[in-house]
Amino acid sequence: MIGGQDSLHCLRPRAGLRRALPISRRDGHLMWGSNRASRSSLRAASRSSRRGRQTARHAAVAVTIAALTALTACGSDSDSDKTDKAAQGDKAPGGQGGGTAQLDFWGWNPAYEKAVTAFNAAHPDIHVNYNKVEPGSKGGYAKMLAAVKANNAPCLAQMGYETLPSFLVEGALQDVDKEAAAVKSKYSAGAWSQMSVAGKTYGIPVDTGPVAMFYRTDVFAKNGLTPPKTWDEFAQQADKVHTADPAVAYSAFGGNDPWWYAGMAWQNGGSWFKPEGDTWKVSLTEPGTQKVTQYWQQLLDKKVVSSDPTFTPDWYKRFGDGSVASYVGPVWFTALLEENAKDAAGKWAVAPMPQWDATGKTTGNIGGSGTAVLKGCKNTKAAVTFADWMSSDTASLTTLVKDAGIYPAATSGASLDAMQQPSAYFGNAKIYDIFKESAAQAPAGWQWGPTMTQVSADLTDRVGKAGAGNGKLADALTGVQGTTIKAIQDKGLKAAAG
Amino acid sequence: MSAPIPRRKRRRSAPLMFLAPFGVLFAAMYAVPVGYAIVESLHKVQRSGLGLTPPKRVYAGFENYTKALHDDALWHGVGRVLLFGAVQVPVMLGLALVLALLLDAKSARLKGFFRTAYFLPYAIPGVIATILWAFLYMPRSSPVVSMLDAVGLPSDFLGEDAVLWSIANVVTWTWTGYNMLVIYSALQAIPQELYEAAELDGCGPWRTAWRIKVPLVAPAIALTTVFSVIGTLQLYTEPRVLRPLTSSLDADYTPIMSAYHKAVENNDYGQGAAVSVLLALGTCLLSFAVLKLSARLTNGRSSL
Repeated sequence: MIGGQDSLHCLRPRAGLRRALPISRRDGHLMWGSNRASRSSLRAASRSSRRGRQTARHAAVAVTIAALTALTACGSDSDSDKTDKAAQGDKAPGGQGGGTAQLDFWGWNPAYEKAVTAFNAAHPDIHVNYNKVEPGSKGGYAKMLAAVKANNAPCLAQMGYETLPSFLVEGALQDVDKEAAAVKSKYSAGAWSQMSVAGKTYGIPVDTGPVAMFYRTDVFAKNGLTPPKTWDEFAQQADKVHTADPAVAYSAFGGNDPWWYAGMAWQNGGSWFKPEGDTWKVSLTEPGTQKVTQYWQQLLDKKVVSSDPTFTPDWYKRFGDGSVASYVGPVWFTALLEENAKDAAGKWAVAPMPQWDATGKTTGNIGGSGTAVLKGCKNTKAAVTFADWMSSDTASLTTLVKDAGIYPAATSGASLDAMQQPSAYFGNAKIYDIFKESAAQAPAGWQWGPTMTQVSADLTDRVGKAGAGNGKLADALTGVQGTTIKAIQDKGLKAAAG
Repeated sequence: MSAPIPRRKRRRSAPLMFLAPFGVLFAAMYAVPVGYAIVESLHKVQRSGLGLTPPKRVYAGFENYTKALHDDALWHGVGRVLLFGAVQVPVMLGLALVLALLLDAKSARLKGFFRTAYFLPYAIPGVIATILWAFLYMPRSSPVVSMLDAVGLPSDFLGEDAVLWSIANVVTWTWTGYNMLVIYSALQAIPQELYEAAELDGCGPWRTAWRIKVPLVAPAIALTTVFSVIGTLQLYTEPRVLRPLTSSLDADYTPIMSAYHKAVENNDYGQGAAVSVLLALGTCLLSFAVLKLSARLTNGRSSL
């Protein structure tokens, strides 16, 4: 987890409404593609790049600096007087005694800065210091973990849902059950469950990644098709489109992107992980996932879908030139599509995610993050007050939606003005109506495991290979099931197939 | 008033003072991190059950090393870079030697231009070089791939079998000029008298190159070989950058990628440190072997 570069993808780029959120795409991977926003944010954050020897060197330097910092007991990157204030604030709970509670908050979303400023203006008794760090999988998580070890961690941290359990097993989270109970009802159940493990809550969700189906109106019209309601129909249409023009792939298999694969499995209501007693039950072969695996294997065997590695320049090219006719993806893909397939403006539309049975009404989720409370936070009450405000206040959400393109985890987010706007790129359709519906239909039971960076890397390697025709998906999943159980056990935890 | 420092004492402390800036930096940036890695490699983090209780860092003895030595993926990575080195290093150094000899030949023209041109790729950071090459490798974006397709030579530079050699190509492109420059400098240092003597003895340009120049620059070739062997074992940048573009490059494709994957992605710094220490030892041994071997070859040849 905690990935460094490449890794946990943690936060997928959810981009959103208008602009791409600059987030790292996948853990450990170099950001490819021409997403300007992402690039610049990467440049700013500079986490990325994983450059080999240089990376190793940087890492060594970082370790040294971290060690020196710890030795001199000075604060992280905030200047020392800020840190002093923060320390004092931590001791003066909730502004009692006339003091202002000082909270440090680390994240990489540039829009959070504005939300923090607005919060500080409206709350004289709490002052939040926002520090921008590199995106989680590009070093932000590693930095947070190091800070927890050195006892100078911030109270609050931006965190991808998939990374939360990993932080938990590193002993880096603080539970806020008591403080958060009162605000639980403001959030969608699915998002709320993402900030909890084994019944304890560790923060407040900010955004989610509801899934829908993107499709090329021109290709669909040429073949006399309307968006498929069910996966059966999806497969029939795939045959038809590919037979009519073998150069066109009906859809894109996103299997080398583990979060996409999880998002497809998510729709079936199962989960890859379950904490049971004192054991992590691991099931990458649970029935819902098997259904997905068998289904996509058939499409891959018939070569009616593309299996190019996702989020690469080659991949985006297909979206621009119409050689791929659809993609089942999350809300933040809208912005990536706009950025990377500009020529195709007006040709793409959004429809609900296909269903496994005609009467079904469930969807998946890909990506999303929350504000976690880190170990050592002395003022959890103020921390939750802020995190809840940022995730649910109308002004804050409007900023986050407009500037960062998030899809709010708070149920009130659906009624924001910004969510009612038509999208020019999608032929002025009000595409968010579909994502709202999707967000409400994503099952709440999905649980991530404690070694997601490893799971992500292994899935990328094995499912990617199987997608490229080198082996079968089912074997890939069984293989990762084994490596995952072993990886969890290697951490000294209990794990079993389940 | 302080007593004057005795002259002898001052003399003795002077070298230490001059060494201090280096010493401090060396300790802080090199010795301490290496020591830290070794300490880390002897520890592991202990957790229990679901991991809801805080983990403890405990002494692990050589457990991390045992685990690393039994890691098949790591050994595959080692095998891969050795194969890579066995092919790429001779090709690159052969090219570097030929280019250096050409530049050094009497009949060479525009030496400055060519020297710079050959060296230029080295000035491009590895990540950038790999990205540039990636655009020539990607099946849909590459003009090279479409040209080869057009003449009936379908190619998949990023496929399972080809990708190692695609990486070798980038590394060769980047480093040939650098190695050429080292060899070329050695050529420049050869006294002119030797050439005159050779000419009087009736040596043509070929014989001069083979009998005089190559043996005399053998130490430089040995040096570049050692550097290249070390670089090979530390192969990381190129496969790392290409990884998102293809399913052929695993997270532990090379030993360094494996160490990174374990330490940062799996957050098991002890395991990552153990792999790094083993790799450092292996690199040391191999470089030493190459040095010894080349010393023997060099002696043999110069005594001809």
